[in-house]
Amino acid sequence: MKNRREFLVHAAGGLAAAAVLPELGFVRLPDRSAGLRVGVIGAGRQGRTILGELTKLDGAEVAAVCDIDERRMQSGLRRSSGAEGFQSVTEMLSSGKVDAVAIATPTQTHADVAKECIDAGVHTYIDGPLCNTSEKCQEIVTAARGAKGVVASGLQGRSNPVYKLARTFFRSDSVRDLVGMRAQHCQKTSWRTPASDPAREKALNWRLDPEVTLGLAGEWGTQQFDVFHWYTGRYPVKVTGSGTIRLHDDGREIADTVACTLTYEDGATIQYEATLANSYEGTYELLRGTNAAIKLGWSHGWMFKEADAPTQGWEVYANRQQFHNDEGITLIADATKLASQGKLKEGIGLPNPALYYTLADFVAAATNGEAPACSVEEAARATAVGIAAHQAVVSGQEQSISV
Amino acid sequence: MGTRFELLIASDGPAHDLRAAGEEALDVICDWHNRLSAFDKGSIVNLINQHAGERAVRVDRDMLDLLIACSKWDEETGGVFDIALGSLMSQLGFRGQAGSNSTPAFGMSYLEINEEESAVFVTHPEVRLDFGAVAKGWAIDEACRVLQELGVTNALLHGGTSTAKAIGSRPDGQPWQVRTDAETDAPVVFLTDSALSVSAPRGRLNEAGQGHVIDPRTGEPTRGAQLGGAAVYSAAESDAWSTALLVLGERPGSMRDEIASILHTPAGEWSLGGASAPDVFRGGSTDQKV
Repeated sequence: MKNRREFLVHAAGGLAAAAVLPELGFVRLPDRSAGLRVGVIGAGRQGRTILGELTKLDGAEVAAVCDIDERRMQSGLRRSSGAEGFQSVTEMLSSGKVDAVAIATPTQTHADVAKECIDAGVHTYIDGPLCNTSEKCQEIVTAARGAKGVVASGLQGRSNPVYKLARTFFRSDSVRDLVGMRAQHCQKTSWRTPASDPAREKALNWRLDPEVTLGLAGEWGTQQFDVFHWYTGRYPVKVTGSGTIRLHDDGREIADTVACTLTYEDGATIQYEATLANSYEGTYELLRGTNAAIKLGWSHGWMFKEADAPTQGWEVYANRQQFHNDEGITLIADATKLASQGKLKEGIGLPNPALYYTLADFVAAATNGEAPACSVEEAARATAVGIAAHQAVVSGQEQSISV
Repeated sequence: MGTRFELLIASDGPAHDLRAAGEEALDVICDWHNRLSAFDKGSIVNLINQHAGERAVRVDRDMLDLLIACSKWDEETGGVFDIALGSLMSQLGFRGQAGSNSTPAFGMSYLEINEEESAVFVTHPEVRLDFGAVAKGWAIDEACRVLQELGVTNALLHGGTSTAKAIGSRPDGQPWQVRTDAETDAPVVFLTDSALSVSAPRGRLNEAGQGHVIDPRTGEPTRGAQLGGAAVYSAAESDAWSTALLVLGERPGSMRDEIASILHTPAGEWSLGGASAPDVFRGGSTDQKV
């Protein structure tokens, strides 16, 4: 027999479902028996992370690892079980060993690699951002139009169960009129990749190469700006920015600390900060409305309601967390189900990294012939914003944004 | 692992290159933490545990190597090093709230490793893998391997002050020196291309005041010694042996002679073993006992 509190939690879960959870099933997992054979292209840090997450997915089998660097390729193979190693994309594709590929090569190479994979007829996942120029992004979009398989972009917010849940709140008017948006990516790290072979140093450190990099605003900003596009259905029209080197004065030209203001046609703004010199508060996006603010921290999400915002009932029994003077309601994916099992607290925070859900979405889409969570058209628009933000940082000049 | 790792790299190379190498090494440690953490719901260990008694779970080559190495150390230590004590750790309150009084199933006899299929199966639904006794050492070995690939020749890396590994020597050519315990009479270990691990029941206590190292022969927290330590090239192997020594309370005959051992007995004496022990452990009150 349930006590009163348990009963109320159960009842609250039901009410939440009726009132504010129009979408059900925030985690899309592929069919366990599908066995999609995936080749991972690029076995650097991100490639190895992708390999680790793919190994956890029942519906995927890592069949191949491809990297032009033998050492990295071997290192990638150790993150798989029984995969075959390749140093050429062409050879991997012609081997017939893969049904799908995940591209985790440097951003500026995405277009060439993606086009080859799409032309070969395999399902193609392209890590975000889409590419480093608008022209190359368009080449991918054009290639994808004639694709036999699914072509997906790895803008991770769109697959993140917490972000999907928060979006239902946002779109059901819990936030009310949008006041402004803010995002940051703060991580104390050099962004430098050590090279055992000095000849490889420039290639490995493409993120520090002014010729090709999108900098912090493009590499991280694109992921984060896309969350705002996805939530609001709108894109900013102009961006100003600045950048400086605050810590890593090691001869690099690329700023380790940037700030941007992205402005919408109606005057609303996104304030963006990113730094490699300090880690405080990490990475998050914040949407501030007249009734509530939503803070999205990748693995967690919270809603902060204004005192005069109408009560919808369910929040009385929701899990809460104190942030100095503010109290956040924890946004929990599948809260209704967990509440009905008396396990609401177990749902706080995602059990897996956001990348896991992005890859799960891709594998499910490829297996079931569904649309990807993030199409390359969407990714091209998000990347265009990231490219403009980076150009604003580098030039110090206002850039107009055309998506 | 949930502990602090510290890395010291000694080199005349550009500081930014050393920092980048250090970041790469610490990334490797974070990566292993994410895979082996018993607390992380997304870890591969949790995935294996979730399917205990139900089905085998596919693992990658790295994870398979770890499981095979653990099996080997389980055998060499006569079963006192065991990575399948997670259910007992939970029951005794080392993984959150203490569980019921009934003893759950535990032990590596419930573990099936299929090398050919690269899969692992925990055959009993109650049994839980817990790599707490070896995760730090394994991660440190992997991080040091990466550092060496990147050309680092002199470094010292430790995790939680209980496992340390030296790459080469100090820049002055002398071995890196690490005291085995906070006590002033505790011996100092001299490390050159070698690792040291120490285990002590007092490292973490549950609400009942029991130590976190469990004797798999009894299912109870061990009282074999105050401290057990082992020094050998592999930090993971030193981790495994330091746990086994603590449980056994004496150096077993199955321990390879190249592994130097140290025990702080319940009577408060320091006891050394292994051919290299006199070179590895020095100072403190051990001088008289070597």
